[in-house]
Amino acid sequence: MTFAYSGKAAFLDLSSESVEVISISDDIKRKYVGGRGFIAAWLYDLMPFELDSLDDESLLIFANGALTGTLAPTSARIAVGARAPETGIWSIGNVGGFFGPHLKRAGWDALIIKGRASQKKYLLITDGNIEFKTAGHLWGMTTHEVDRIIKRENDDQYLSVACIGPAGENKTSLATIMVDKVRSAGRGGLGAVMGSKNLKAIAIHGNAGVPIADPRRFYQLSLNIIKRSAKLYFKGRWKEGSIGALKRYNDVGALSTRNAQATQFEGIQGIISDMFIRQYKQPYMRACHACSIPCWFTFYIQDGDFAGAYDDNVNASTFKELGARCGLADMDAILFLNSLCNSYGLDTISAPAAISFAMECFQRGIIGQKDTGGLELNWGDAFAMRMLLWQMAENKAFGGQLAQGVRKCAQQWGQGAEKYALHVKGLETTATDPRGQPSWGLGYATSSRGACHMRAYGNYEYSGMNEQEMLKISGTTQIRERYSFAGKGKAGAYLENLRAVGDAIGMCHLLTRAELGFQEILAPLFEAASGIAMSPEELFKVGERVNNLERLSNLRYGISPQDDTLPNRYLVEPALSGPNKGFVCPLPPMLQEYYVARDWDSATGFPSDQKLADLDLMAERNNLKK
Amino acid sequence: MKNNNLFYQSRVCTGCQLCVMACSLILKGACGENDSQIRILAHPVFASFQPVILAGCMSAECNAECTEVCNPRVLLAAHQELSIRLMRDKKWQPVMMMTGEIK
Repeated sequence: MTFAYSGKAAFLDLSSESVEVISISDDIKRKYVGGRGFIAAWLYDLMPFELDSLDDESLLIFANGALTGTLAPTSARIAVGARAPETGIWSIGNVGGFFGPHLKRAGWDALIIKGRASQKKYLLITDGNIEFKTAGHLWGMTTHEVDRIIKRENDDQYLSVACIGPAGENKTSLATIMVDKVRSAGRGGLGAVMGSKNLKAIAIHGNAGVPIADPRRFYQLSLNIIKRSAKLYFKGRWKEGSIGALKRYNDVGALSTRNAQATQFEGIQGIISDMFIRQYKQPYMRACHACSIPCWFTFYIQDGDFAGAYDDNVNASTFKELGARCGLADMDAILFLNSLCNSYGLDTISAPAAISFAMECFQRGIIGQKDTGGLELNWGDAFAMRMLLWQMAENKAFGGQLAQGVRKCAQQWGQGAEKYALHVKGLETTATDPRGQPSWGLGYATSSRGACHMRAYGNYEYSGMNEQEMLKISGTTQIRERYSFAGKGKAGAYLENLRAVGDAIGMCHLLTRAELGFQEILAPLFEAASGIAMSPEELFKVGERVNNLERLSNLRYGISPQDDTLPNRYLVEPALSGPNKGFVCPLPPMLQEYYVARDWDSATGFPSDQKLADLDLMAERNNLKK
Repeated sequence: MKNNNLFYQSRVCTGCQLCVMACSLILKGACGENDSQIRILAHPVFASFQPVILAGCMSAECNAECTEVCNPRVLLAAHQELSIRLMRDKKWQPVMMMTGEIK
């Protein structure tokens, strides 16, 4: 009997509408655990590196974490991965909600999708059955509409739906895959990968229970984490979700404003959590599957231009990216634009990043109204932003250009536009400014999929870790000093490994971010659920293995150590105000320490042979040399 | 459970299903709604949730683990005397039982 896992993956070929069942061996469970680990292993093994992201034969993979769909707190996460059109390298993200648990209950650990359907299709997965259904009537619809209609036409309101909006259909590089309407996965344009396959949606309803190897032990271990999470995070989350972080970013000068021309936003009072809670927040909260620290708000706009709008899932990013980054301080407009991004299936980090980049180029005269189709791109102009989002989703007019991402736009526009294109390896940075939060700068620079803030996700610079934890990850408590750099390279490498473990297990970063995410906590939990004995050291090594395999793939795609860097703005333009006035992000010493901690060659970027042998990745290394 | 009654706070339940997972795990050794004697009713649009029990809850051999894992602490197992007090308390509602079978 298989515990925790369902033990099989579905290999779906959309071209022939066939399904092949692949059994998941104990070997791959031990080596990669699940989720992001499985996707990295399968992309490496099954997808030729020469294939373009949007090639018919390219793969799009959904893989559950090992514990997804169980009692393990926050075990809602399902990973989604492919070669991303925006960056040209792998992008493996993950998403909560109820989609992953439903997939596991339907009897599948993963869906590996290749091919291109001859007609528009969606997949209906119910308890082991997989149907290829016609989706011509859904094409062109927003994600909210698709969710509603698929549930209605199948007479099943319990379906969980992952779908693309117009942005994915039109194959824009800023398209994501939306799950349960408001949760998003697949930065770098994985929505476009799904669209290129003529696949509009995947709807799942699973009913089977997930068997647990040692139910009593698993219960006690889960309960222990739930209780500890209540003490650590519950109160703050319950009051403010993740929005409370916004004021902190601004206070310490880490809030990129007007495309990071400033690091503090003068309009902050209009977008902080107090205002949101007073005027917009509904009295109820939602949680993803098995989440003990909910952050999922619902809101309602009572009056003004957007009166009547009701939606959910806002977080600090909503206000950082659509607000400060674009110079917009109107909360009504921000909430409305956020809903619009979700409906269109646009990345709520990269789309605002592209808009703010265009606004700065407009400000500096690099582009003008003749380029924008007559639009004036002034800071904080919600009307212009609304128009651009629509153009991005439709891949039309000026917004269609922007939807290629800032790197490609800057290359096309020239005239020094590169200076204002804030990305790493082609993926846009978030609006948390590395001049005020240097550890995030290192995270952007080293993240295996481009500037992802969740790959390292360090929280030690703002009291998120105690001394013991800081010593464990870096050997020094100095890392708590915001503007110093000692120990942060080592901490960055350690945390990247730990996050990869969380992603493989299927638990949320908001829970596993500090003491509850260490291997000593997660290994026994994994063992009790799956029956597979694994020491904390072995589990940690899984995280390290995933990071190194992603590194090998990046090298194969032509990434070099020169790409492990930050946009120049963060490195040479000092912050103009706040406690970090005069500071730039101290990346070089952090990066040097990171390479040493990783045992990677700073000239070639390759992991040492000894490291690869230790991680059982020599075969993968040798394959790359061929 | 036999001598206890479940109570909940209606405006605070988040629909996380931890109670459902705990129940199925303790009773059946698996995590899933179909193996659980407690379910969550959800409003189809708004975020509003409400736990309900199935008949089997009344004879289940358990220690009300569903209430232990509830982080907002809005699910409570009350003995007879406390139940009578909670019935008069506007903050708490008794968890109802489904009157028909759920497939």
